Amino acid sequence: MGGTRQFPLERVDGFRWRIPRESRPGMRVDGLVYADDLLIRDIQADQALEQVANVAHLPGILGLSLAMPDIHWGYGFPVGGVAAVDPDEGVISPGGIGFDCNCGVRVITADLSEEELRPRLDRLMDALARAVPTGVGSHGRLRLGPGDLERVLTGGMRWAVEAGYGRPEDLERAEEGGCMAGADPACVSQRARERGRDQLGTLGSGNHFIEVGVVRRVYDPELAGAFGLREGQVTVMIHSGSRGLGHQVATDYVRLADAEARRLGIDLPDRQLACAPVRSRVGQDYLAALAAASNFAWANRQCMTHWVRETFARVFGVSDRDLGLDLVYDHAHNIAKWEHVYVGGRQRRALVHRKGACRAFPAGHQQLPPRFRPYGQPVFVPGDMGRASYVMVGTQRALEETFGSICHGAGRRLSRSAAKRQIRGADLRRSLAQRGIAVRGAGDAALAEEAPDAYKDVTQVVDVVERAGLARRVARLEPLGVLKG
Amino acid sequence: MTAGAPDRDAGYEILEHTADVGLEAYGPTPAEALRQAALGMAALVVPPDQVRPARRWQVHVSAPDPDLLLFNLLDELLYLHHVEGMLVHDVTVEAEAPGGPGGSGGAPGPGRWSARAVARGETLDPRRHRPGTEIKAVTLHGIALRPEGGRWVGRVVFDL
Repeated sequence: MGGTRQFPLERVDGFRWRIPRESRPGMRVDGLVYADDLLIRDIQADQALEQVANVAHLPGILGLSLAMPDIHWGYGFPVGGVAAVDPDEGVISPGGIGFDCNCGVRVITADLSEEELRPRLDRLMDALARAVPTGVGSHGRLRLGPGDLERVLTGGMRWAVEAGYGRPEDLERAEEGGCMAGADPACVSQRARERGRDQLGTLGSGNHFIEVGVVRRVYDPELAGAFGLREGQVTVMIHSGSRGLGHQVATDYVRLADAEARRLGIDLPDRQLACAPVRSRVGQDYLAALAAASNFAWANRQCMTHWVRETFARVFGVSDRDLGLDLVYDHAHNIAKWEHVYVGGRQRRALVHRKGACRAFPAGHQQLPPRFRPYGQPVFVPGDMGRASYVMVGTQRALEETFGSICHGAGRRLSRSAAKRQIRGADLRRSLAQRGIAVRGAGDAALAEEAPDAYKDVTQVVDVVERAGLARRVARLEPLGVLKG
Repeated sequence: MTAGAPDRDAGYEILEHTADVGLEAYGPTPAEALRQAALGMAALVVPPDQVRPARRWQVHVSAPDPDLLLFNLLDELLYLHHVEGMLVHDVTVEAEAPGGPGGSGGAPGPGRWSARAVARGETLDPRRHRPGTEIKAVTLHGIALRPEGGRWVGRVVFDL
């Protein structure tokens, strides 16, 4: 927790650093960190490497304990960590997904240019702030009747579209089609339901946001065109997760996994790595609950998408279809997935934990929907509110080296209290406004916590991922308006 | 770092983390350390002095070890905050080690630890209360409630 103890690292090449398994007793595999010389120093300073090494203790872990360049200290698993486990010998660790199950991100495009948007930007941001509940303790606009929550947990985005919150084609543009199989509401506790019932269709707080932006630059015209992105086009990015329902599911199963790990005598360097064998009752129940919570998150992002569309339509006085407002893609960055992965050059089935890391399947991957199979899956890498976000696509090399995973965002560098000490929210609001970025929804303190300076530079992170050969840049998005919780 | 309680025998400190927050609470007994941890968690959301002692909530938790007892108590209070909007003005805590009253500072024997807490506070009123932080969950990272240097210390990290 802080401190600058140097962790043993072996440089592999310009962007890869190995943590040898010999450096800690109990490590079953090496760790591998993707970073450049500058980022590795930040990473060393916040003790994230210790967590990468800790993950290597997990029974049944395959290949390597991986860390993306946006890695930072988490609890148990670092944020930006990826670990795959054997289906028979391996364990599932709820902390390896994080408390916000299926926190993820989606992008929508609008048939508008920045010039067309600007005159109505303030009105639009005000209207979005009214349309989408945000912030701590906010309540949703939806009143779920008896049985509705069950349908959300099993149906996810599918439920939302059928309930009128979206278009059928949206379902072709989401990881898992926005609805993960194997969800079992019976594995979701009463407490989780109580926490989630009023929160469907809410943004949340902290680093969640809805960002209206513009495609500032296209790096790969063919891929951008295939994804529906054009330079100068307005975009909307939604970053949110499963709200209190997911947080409670994670809490419930961290507790259960802790008891199971102790019962089985699984020795762990961090209690938060609490795990249960994949094949155990606890393991299977968690996977079923995770699928249900993930579906809640997909329904959540879908409802907000619907209100974004309605709001644009209202503000511009046309139908939402007239503005396009098509979903580009939706994917998770906190989740566990059954995938066919490469381990030591051979393909095999495994359960992949991604905590603050994204799936990035390349062109040709069979699990991609037909629309994306020729190109690969779009991956959205949000930066901080002042700079930029990127659209990327993964490579075959990522599939072979990182279980098809890449970074998820900028990664924090300042603690929230340090950010509040160093940055005045009111000054930040002013300086963003001077740069033409309208901010809504956050109080000054909350804004300071999420200041650009509190984050690493996402361009640096994306640079490393690209130069390491894991993904390619497709486009760069820049913010025009941000709605924060 | 912020700290609570002018009494130097009992209090808490908020510990900074990159993305989350931790706290270290202390007191002469396990019960007092638990109480300080609860107050520290409450202070992260809305400072107790901004909360009126209008009503009471009772919680009762148990655990096979004192570390998990701390986890369970804070998790229970967090649940009441999220589902009932509970904000805390003050908390009283009684704790028992297996086989007898807690707080004597010895090693716990087999059996369950338990704690009973009464929180005085009120439900969140958006007109008067602006929560500083949304605590998503209590984590097990470094969770500890143990005797150290002649007092009881509780350590916990929250997911924000």
